[in-house]
Amino acid sequence: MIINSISMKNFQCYAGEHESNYLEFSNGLNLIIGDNGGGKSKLYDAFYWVIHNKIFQSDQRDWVSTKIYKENLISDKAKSECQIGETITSEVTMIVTSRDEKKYKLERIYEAKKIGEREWSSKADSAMLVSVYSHAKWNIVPEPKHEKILNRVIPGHIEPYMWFQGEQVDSLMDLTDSTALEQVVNLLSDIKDYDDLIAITTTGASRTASDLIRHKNKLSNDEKKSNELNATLEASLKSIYKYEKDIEVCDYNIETAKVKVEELISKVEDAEAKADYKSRRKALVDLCKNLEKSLLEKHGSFSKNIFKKHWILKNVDPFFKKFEAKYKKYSKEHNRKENENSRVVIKLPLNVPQPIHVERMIEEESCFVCGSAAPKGSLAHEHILSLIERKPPKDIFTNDLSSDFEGYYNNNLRYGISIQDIDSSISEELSVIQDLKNKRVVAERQIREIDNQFDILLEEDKSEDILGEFKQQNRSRERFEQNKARLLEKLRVTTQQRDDAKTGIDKLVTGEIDKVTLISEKIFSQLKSIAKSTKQQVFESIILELEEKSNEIFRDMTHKNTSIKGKIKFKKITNGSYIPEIVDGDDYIINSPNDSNIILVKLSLIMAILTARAKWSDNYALISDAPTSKMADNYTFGFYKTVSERFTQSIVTTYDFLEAERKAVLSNFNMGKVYQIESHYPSGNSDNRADLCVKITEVTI
Amino acid sequence: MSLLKDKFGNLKPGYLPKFKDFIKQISQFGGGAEDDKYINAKSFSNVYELYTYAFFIALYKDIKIDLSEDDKLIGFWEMKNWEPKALTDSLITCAIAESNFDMNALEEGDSSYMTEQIKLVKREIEAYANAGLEFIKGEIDQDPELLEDDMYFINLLSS
Amino acid sequence: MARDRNEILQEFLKNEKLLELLEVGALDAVDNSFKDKSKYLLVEAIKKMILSYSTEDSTSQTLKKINALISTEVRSS
Repeated sequence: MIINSISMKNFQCYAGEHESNYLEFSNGLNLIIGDNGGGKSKLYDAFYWVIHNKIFQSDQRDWVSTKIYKENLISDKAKSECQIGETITSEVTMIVTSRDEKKYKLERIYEAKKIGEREWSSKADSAMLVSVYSHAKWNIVPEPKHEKILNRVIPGHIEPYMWFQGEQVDSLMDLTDSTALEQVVNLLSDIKDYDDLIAITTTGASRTASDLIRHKNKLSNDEKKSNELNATLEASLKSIYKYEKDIEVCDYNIETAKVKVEELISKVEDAEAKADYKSRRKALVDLCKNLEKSLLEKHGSFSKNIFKKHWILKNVDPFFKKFEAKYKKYSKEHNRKENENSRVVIKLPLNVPQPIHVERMIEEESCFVCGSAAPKGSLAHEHILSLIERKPPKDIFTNDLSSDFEGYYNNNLRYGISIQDIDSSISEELSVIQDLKNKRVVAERQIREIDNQFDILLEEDKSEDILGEFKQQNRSRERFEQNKARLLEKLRVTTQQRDDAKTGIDKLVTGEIDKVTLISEKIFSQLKSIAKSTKQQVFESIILELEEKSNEIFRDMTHKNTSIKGKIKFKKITNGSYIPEIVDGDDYIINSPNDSNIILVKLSLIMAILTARAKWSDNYALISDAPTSKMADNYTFGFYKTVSERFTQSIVTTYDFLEAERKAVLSNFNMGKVYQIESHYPSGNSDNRADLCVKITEVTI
Repeated sequence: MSLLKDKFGNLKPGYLPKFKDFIKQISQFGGGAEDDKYINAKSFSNVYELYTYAFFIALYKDIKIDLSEDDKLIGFWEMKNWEPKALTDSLITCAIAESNFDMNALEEGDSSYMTEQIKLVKREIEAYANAGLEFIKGEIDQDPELLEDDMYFINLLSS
Repeated sequence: MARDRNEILQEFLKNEKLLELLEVGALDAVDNSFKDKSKYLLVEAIKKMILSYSTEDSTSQTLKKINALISTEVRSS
């Protein structure tokens, strides 16, 4: 809903009637400019009180309910002017418009009766009135409907991001917490649907798996053994689950240690040496990774080459020869039978030489086999001609298999040459692998060397004693990596046990397994895995969208400031979640960036969340109390511009623009109403809180 | 498709049941195991690769298992599906060379004679391949680490 | 269930894991619609699940519907 106005009667420092404490708002950026102590935060409180019936207690930095705060929320001035025996109220009225153009009046009223100079008989709680405007009058909405309407003013789940105090921004989002973004994604999308589907398919998968096991048990020819195997299966499934969880923890810790190491590096003062270290180390690490990858590929293809490059035929020669001899003997015999009754004896198999070559021999009057001339009319020419006329012999053999055997023989012949090269082919591959290994050793040594150099740099660095922590973090990372390796091995063994148990159970089954039970188990297990991976896919696409949007907003907000080089990057960590980081052009984390920068990143994120999919920025008012309080001066311009352009309505209190000359800049923004507020003591004594009220003046830009 | 190739293509040579687990251990058996992402890569991507390999190893080492009709061998996949095809053809020629397969007599015999001769070659293939499996399994049982060594299967060819 | 069920189906159908399991590169238009019947039982099971979920069935109702689908399909094949 869009907020049309707010008015206060005797609410905190806003002494007096509604008419004198009335602020009207329109679309765009509505600004309430005021100095410290001018009533800005109390105005923010007024919005909050109407919706939540709670008041911010500054000394406790917390929200307390009206039931506890009681008459303290009534203006001191009103209280002092009230006579004993009289009743006094503190009220806040908000008028809002819904998307369907319905106007609602929200009134919260608290009543107290003065019974002594400083004694009050207060109502236990405030009263709420909600009215809807129709037929040219306000009509009371019954109480059961209140909550729904209040929730439409600002839905609870987006409120933390839509209504906030400047000093809260920092705590709104913990950038080092890997679940922060996940919570945000849950909030701004319907990704929960996918969680529900995962839960459904997981239940389905586990039920159908149990059904199948029960069914197999029934069909088992050894019930005792089946039970044993089932116990093993269950135990291994449990262990697998545990190992996988433990591996996740290791991954998380490895990631944390890596981030800490990065942070420490960024603390070193010698910027040039640091940059040099980082780039050299990165190059070497990348090289190592590439070498590792090539090695892995080579190893993989190495065993594949047994078949691909037919290394398997390495010693086959004598056996090919043996076949050749057998084939020769066969061929001779076959040929003899073929020629038994023919005029000309041709010892070559049919179609050898191939017909095209025979035709050329005839044309060129020459025998291509022996090289002799075969002029027309000669016996040799006749002989060649007879090759063309050859027909397959009929009825000599039950099965003429000559072309099959010839095919086999030719196949072996084709292998012949490459078989001779197998030894050199193997040693060539081996030397490539050895070469890669050597390069990796060198690169690893170089990494150790530059790490040592960096240790020296850290020792010499006067900024902080960080060498110890640096080493400790590195050690902790190594430790977790070792743990992880151990867990992976255990996981491998247990997975094998699980598979063995499954095979064992299957072996005991006699008779046919029911097809429906079998296929149900398969389909549900597939559904489960697809649901999981679809959720991850959707999650990642939202994250990507959010990252783009945050950067767009971050750029907008910082475009006036040339010193900022960073961008927001959502770094994927091994457990599948993301943490936001501010990185430089080379993707290195910019650590210890100034507070202002961090606030800006968080604000960018918040605005990205609000303006992303759900378009909350279109439908609800952003209300913020002094959002720029922790922001450097030169960022405020970008902030206001962005807010004014991206939110249909925003209501912001601030001490920026107090000076008249600074107000000029506001004409650059899409503005709503602008007010200046200040404390006002009608009697002129600014020490007398019982005389305090607030003067509200509308400012024209 | 020629007659003989067709007959050989439809052969389904088998292995002794005692090798089933071993074969599963070192070759990709049936479809891929999608969810077992942590399982080590298998040395052979198909059973027929391992089987072909075992055949040649045994052939080079000149070891054979004397199989009888009572041995209930487990057949796995018709030879026409094995890859590379040329290699399978060479394997057949080696089995022909080593067996009493009579090429000439085959051309004159009836279909039952042919079936008998084809069976001779199949028995030859099985005799070598199972001996090869026995040999490799023996080595790996003694030293499971061999499976981690990419060179093992190459070295075996040379030894 | 705020999200459009067609959108959820789209997300499921473009998932690589599904394509991998079905051993196809992409799916057909019939797979993409709740009206038409896919030749893959798995795709039909996904549709059934989303439909049932989007009509706010309970988990056990959804599972029952998928089970019934599998049972009918398997017996008729």
